[in-house]
Order: sequence, then structure tokens, then C-alpha cells
Amino acid sequence: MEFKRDDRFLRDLNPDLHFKRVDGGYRLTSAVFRDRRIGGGFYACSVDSERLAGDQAVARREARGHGGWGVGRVSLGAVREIGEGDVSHNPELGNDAHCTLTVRGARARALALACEVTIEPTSEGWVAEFAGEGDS
Amino acid sequence: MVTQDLDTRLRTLSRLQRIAGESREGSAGVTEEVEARATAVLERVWDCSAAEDRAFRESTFVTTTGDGAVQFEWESGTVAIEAVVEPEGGFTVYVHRKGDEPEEWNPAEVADAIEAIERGWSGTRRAARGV
Repeated sequence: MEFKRDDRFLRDLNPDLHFKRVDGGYRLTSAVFRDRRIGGGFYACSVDSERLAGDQAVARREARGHGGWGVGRVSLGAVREIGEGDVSHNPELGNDAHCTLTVRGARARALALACEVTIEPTSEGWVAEFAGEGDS
Repeated sequence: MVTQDLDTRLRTLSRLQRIAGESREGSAGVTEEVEARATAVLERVWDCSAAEDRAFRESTFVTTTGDGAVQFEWESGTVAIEAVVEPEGGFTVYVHRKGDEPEEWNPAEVADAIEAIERGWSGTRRAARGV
């Protein structure tokens, strides 16, 4: 499947590992996209195509046990131009929206800063530390 | 060690131990060997020249990646440094200076990783002094 530049992809955000406190709120750490090293200075991580997931996005996130996690959204254009990476369709059993996002390691921070937090985590610990302080 | 930052130092160490321990419950957790190397980085970094800068000390952050690496971060308004303690050995240090392309180093030893961190941060300190 070919994706377009303005296609958007959803990344599960771990409330304990992916948010860093900064003055006036929080920001995402590059660890969001540094999930697994694949060689050549690149990393890969799992995302869902927003278009393919449609209204199933929430149910799939809950099925992964990530119901209380946050969601980040990034466009293919940003992945290519900021992250110097790409996104490929990689359907899994029960999730045909699953894709693999690659990013150059040195660009993961810039991509994390460009990633929009569309849903904030709801876990008790995250809410206590960050709620209402987002700067994204 | 800077006394007034004892809480930050202990908090960071405590967080490192907690998230590394929790990660071992998953399939690709931070091994005890990687946790030990990460602890060594943290102990060395608190004694290095970059840690003379309050912005450096106070911005210390630690997290883990999905493949069992430990990642440290420090940042000011003009530079951000990330040091990744790699699961297979060695380190990756990224230096992001405002307006410049990010730089990457891959030292094998803790001492070289610390040097890369110090070198990456030192430009900020010189700029702050107007040198």
C-alpha cells in the first residue's frame, strides 16, 4: 500500500517513559521513536495508520493493553522530511492498520518534537505529574 | 558531587532502577548489565565538567527504549544531549545544537562517552560566557 504525504500515523505513548517534564509543561522524548535499532543508524517502531484504523483506533489500543496510554500523531511528510525515515504497511493479525515507522536515530528527537499529542495518558501517575501542563 | 542536587541525583538513580526493573518483566527488558553500565554513566557524569552547569544537572532525564537500552537526556536552550547505553555494549551520544545538524558519536567505553557528553555541552558553556 502506498501512503500519501499527508497520511497520518498514530503512536502509543507510554505514560512512564515517553514524557519529560520541561518548563511550563511536558514534551515527548525521542525514546518514543527509538523503539528498536535496525542498523545503519536507524530505528523502527510500530504505528497505526489513522486512515486505515478509522473508528477502530481506540479499540485496538485497548486490545494491546494500552487503554490508559497517550496517543501521538505524526504525518508521513514529517517522518520523511524531519525524521529522514519512512512508513511501510505491515498488517498484523487483528490489526490491518499496523505499520512500521523508521527514523534516523539522530533525527528521532526532532520527530518527537514534531509529534502531536492527540490523547494524553489517563493513568493516575501521569495525571498527577503532568495533567494540564502540556506544551504541545 | 553538588550537594544541592543530591535530590535530583537520587531521584534519577531511583527512577533508573525502577524503570529498568519494570522493563525486565517484559520481553525486551533492560538487563542488569546494561543497568549497571547506565548507573556508571550517571555516577561519572555527575563528576564531569558539564555538571558544573546548573541547567545540565537540573535537566537530567532517564528513560528506556523498546530494545532494552537506557537513554539519558540533558538540555538547555541551545543544546540537547542524548546518551544511549546500548544493550550490546557501547554507547551512542547525540548532540543537538540549535540551528545545526545533529551529531552522533559511538564510543565503546564509559570514559569516552562522558568525554563526548562534556564536549557536546561545552559549546553551550562557552557561548554563555561569550567566548
